[in-house]
Amino acid sequence: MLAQELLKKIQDVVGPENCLRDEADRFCYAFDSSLLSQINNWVPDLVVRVKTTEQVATILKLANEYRVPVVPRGAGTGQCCGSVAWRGGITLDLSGMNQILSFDLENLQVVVQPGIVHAELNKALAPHGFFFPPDPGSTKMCTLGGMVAFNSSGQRSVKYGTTKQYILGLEVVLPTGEVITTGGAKSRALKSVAGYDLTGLFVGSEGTLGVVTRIRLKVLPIPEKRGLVVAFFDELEASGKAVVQIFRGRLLPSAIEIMDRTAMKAAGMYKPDLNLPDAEAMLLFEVDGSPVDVTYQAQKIAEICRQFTQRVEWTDDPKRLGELWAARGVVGAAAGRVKEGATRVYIGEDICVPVVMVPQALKKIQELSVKYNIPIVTYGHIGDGNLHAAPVINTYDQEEIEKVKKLGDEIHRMALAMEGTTTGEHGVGLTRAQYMEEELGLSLDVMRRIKKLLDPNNILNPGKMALEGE
Amino acid sequence: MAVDKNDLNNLPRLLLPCVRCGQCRSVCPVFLAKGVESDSPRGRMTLVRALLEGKLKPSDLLNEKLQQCLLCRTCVMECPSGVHVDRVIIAAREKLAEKKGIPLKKKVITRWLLPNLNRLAAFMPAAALLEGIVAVRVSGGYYRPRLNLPLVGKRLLPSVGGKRPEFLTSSTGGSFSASSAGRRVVFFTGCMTNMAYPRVAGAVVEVLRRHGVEVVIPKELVCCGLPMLAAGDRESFLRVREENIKVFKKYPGLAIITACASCGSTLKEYYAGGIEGKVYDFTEFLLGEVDFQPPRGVVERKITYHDPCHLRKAQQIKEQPRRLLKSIPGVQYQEVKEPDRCCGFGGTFSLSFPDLSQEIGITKVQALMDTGADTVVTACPGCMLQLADGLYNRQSAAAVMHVAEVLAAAYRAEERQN
Repeated sequence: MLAQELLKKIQDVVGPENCLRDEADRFCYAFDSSLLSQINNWVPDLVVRVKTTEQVATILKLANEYRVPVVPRGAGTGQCCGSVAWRGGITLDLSGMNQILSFDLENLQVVVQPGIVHAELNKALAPHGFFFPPDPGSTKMCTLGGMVAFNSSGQRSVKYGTTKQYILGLEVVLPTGEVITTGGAKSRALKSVAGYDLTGLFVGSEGTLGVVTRIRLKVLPIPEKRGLVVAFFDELEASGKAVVQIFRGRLLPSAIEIMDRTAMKAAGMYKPDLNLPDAEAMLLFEVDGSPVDVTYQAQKIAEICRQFTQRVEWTDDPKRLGELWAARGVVGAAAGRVKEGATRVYIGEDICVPVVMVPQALKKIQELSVKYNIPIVTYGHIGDGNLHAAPVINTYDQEEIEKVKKLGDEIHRMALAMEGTTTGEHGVGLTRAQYMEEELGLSLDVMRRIKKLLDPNNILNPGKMALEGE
Repeated sequence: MAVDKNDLNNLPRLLLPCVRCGQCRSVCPVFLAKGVESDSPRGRMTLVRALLEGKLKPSDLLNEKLQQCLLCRTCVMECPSGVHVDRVIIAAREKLAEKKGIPLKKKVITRWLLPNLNRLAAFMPAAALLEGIVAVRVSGGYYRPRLNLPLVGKRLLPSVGGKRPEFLTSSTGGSFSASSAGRRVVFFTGCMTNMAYPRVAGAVVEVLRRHGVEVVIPKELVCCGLPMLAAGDRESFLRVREENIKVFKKYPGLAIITACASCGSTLKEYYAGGIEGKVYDFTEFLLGEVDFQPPRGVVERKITYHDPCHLRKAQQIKEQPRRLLKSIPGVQYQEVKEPDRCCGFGGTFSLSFPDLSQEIGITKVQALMDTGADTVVTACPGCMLQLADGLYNRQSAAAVMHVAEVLAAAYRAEERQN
């Protein structure tokens, strides 16, 4: 329970109407997509909806004074409990800070508030001929603040990289209430090496070091054209070899996606019109650029794929492009439908392994599915080795929950054994904190020292990312 | 497919697929207006599950959150996991009603007013006398109440004093057949059409007659029951459904036509008793069941079309109204931005939460006005009322019409030409 005195002070800052105290209201801020948040009851004591940097600063100052945990939250679309207030305290809802503050397109940049939804930003940029390239599957609902906090990416990271490559500077409220601007207090420069890269420090810090209240980000011109190559493989290994061969052929597609047998089956069950053939895996290569370039790249990719399979198709027809991408688009949704009375859960869902290891990882995941008798639908970004495994269970069944936890653990350990990581783009939060000692080694200790320096009273998103140690 | 959806015992299974991805946040009209997670479909699903699992007790706020859903199904269309949010909400309201009872205001509507509406039609001429006293007449045949009226507040109301088609005035005494040749159909007019927009019923009959269809409007038909379902009052719903099915049984094998998206979806989804597969929206029937004769008369109007949620999302009827409108000579058709965005009416939702209903409507109305159309057409009398109110409040002179009315106008013009 929050001290009445503190509550009163917070109400004075944001108004009582922006302080959600009713249990039913708070209950709706107790989760993200992770299984972990679903099976726990981590309800915040108070939800505060903020509108300005000043409000955030005052609240953090107060929370620091009263030693109350504060957890920043955008749309709550994460998968690792990053925005879940597992120690109670205050959930800071930043989704209302959703404005584009300035367009500076001659200078390839815009300044936005953290609550703006990814798709809304790109909708606003499109008429000007620009876009913000990282493209998470949650584009329709996730916020830019969340993307910065978790350094999110998506299908096009093969060519365009992750969020951090586009963040030029941030306004951050520190846990003690001071407001800083990284990347230069008044800078509009596209690059700068003045000082430590504090921007890089905050990107991916999962709301443990500061609350981002303003983002200066780089945008790019929208490519003139896009094309797609689709190839079906009878052997998983062949699909992995094709990808490597394409890089060797000096080609850089904007996206390379893989769906294994399980994913193709799920997509086919959900949308039979897709008419997916029988195969061990399908690869989708997206290329973009000028019309001439797109045709050249697509033909070359198709040629390379033909060394491994005869079932290759390429198109630059927007209609056909849409149909083919649809198979990849629906697979996440379709996963839960492969078993009656069960649903997809987010656990062990974001490993990233070396590209050449992807076929092996897919095989191993299929074996684990048999071992645990849990259907798993696997798909992902083979172009950067990032795989999304979707176990399907009945969440009302305690035994299945226990089983899937073990399954998730095995998937994570497999990734580490393959010299990969437990998380390619979703984050550590609580769900992967247990692997950080092993994954980060001494770096984790440095992270802990940084945390201590910036957040001496450990009020900001405490207990996440293994920052508290044993 | 018409099934008896009693989802109350089914709730755990209906809730299971929700993975809390939050995609519904991007489309829910209530969430977009309010911005609080408990106003998103994902939030509501969480509340229902917590209620079922005993983690939350029924409270005023929880009740309000579960009542504050338009049942527009925009989230259902968007949901990657296929959660039937509308069915969960209906069942959850039933559960709450079991525990807390149904509020008096809703009871008055669902248990007394709507089941007896056809009988009340006899009092319409008397009510018409009051119109000029309690309300101010505005253009388009509407009245604006001078004071907050019971149930409806200050919402724009269609005149009840206008000329009613003969077959509707006779709804208090004997059924009426409109033609004697060709196919026979039953026309389920529904409360909104019957009371607020008799002119729509007139147009429907007129257009069907043009196609040689004999239209029967049985006087004993009552409310389709959607307001009762939406209020969690299944008992009352079952009562009106039984009454209606009894009437339908008198006309075995006949197609049942609706011109109200909400009535249509309810009859298609929540009815059984032999009418499965026989219910058609007016636009669906014209283009699928008879040899549609495009009108030759000219209607000089710049038209835009609003997709009623219960037509496009519940019945997957999207193209038919557009094709009908575009078939009319002289019509200049302009698609609106986000044509399937909910108007915010939601039936009794607009009575329970008038301000929120209007706020949600503003986005829709503005988009309609931005098209520059002089006529806003839709296929649901509920949407018509909401849009007329919204357009009036924003000083727009655009007329609001039902697809059937535009078609009827074209056939009339054709007759004049001949």
